[in-house]
Amino acid sequence: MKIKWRKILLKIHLYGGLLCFWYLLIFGISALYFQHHFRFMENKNIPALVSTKKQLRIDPANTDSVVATNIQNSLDVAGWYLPWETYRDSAGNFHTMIANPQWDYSIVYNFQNSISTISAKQKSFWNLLIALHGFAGKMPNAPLLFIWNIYTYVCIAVVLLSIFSGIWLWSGRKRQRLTGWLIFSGIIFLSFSLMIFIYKHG
Amino acid sequence: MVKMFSLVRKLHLYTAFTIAAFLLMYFVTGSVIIMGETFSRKSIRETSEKQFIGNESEFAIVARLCKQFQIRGEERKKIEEKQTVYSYLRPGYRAEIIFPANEDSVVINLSQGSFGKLMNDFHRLRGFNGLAHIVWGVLYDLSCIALFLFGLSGLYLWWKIEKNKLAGGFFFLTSTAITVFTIWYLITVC
Repeated sequence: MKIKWRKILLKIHLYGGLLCFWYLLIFGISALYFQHHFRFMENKNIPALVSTKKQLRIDPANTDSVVATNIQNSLDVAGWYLPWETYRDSAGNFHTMIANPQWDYSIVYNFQNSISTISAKQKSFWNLLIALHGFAGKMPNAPLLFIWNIYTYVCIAVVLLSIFSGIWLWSGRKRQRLTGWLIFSGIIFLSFSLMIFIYKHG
Repeated sequence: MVKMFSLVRKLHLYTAFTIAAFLLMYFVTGSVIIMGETFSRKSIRETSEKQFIGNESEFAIVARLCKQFQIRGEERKKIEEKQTVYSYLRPGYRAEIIFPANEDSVVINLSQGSFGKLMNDFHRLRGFNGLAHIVWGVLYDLSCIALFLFGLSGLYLWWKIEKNKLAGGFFFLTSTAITVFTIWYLITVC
C-alpha cells in the first residue's frame, strides 16, 4: 500500500498549527512588548493591596536563603524569592520578597513573636500574559505549571516542523518546491549573516 | 470565495517566510536559554586593566582605548556620582571604560561571554541604535506581526479545508484549554 505522505504531512501541519495557535499569539504579543514596552501593558502603581499576619515557626539559625524558602513554603506562596530583597534589619526582623507573574509579596518575619506580615501587590494581567513567553514552568509551589512547560516544547517542535513541512506542502510541483527551498535558504542565510555582522560589529 | 482562500493561503505562506527568517533563530537561542543548566551564561574570559591618564579629554581617551582594545558595540554612557561609565555591548561581549571621579586613572573591563551568554544576548537583543540594529528591530517587529497573521490565516485555512472539523477542533480546543488553564492557575494559585 502506498503511503500518502502529502496527506499525512498536511494533517500534522494543520493539527500541529492549531495546537500552537494561542502560544503563537501570546508569543507575538509578548515579543512586541519586549521591544516597545507599551505603556498600557505596564504595571500601574497599584498600592499594596492585602496585608495579613500569620504565625509561623521558623529557625533563625539558618542562612537567609533557607529562612526565606522556609517562610515561603510555610505560607504556601508560589513564586521565586528575591535574594537582593532579602535581609535582616537591626531590630532582628527578617525581610524577603517573593515574586510571581501575578503578585509581589513583601514579607516581614519577626523572630521574637514568630509573626509574619505579608503585603501583597498585584501586577497587571498583561504582566501575567507576558510571563508565559518561554515560561519554563519551574516556579516553586506551583507544580501544575509543568503543563505549560511541556506545551512550550511541543510548540517549538511543531513550529520548526511546520516551517519545513509548509514549504514542502506549498506546491506539489517540484519546481515550485525548489523555489520555496531556495527562498527559505536565502532568508536563513540573510538572518544568520545579520547575526554574524552584529556579533562582529555590535 | 476562492479568491479569498487563495489570498489567505498566500498570506499564510509569506508570513511564514517572514517568521522563518527570525523565529528559527529565536527558537534556537530560546531553547539554549531554557536549557540554562546545560549552557552556562557566565563569562569565559574577564580582564581588567588600569591606565593612568594625562591631560587628554574624556572623548580622546575613549577613542584611543576603543582602538587599543578593539572595543566595538552599542555605546551607553552613564554618569554616576562617583564615576562615569562607558559601556559597549554586543552579543556575548561587554566592555566598560570607567572614569572614577577625582582620579587620574581609568579602568577598562573586558568580558567575553560563553556560548550560553551569546545565545541569551542574541535572544534579548532590542532597540534601534545603529543600522544593523534598525534592520534587526524592523525584522523583529515584522516577525511579531507575522505571528498573528500566520496564526489567524492558519485557522481560516483549516476552517475552509476540512469538512469534518472534529479532529482539528479537538486540537484547537486543547490549545485553548491549556492556555486558559495556565492563566487561571497563575491567577488563583499565585
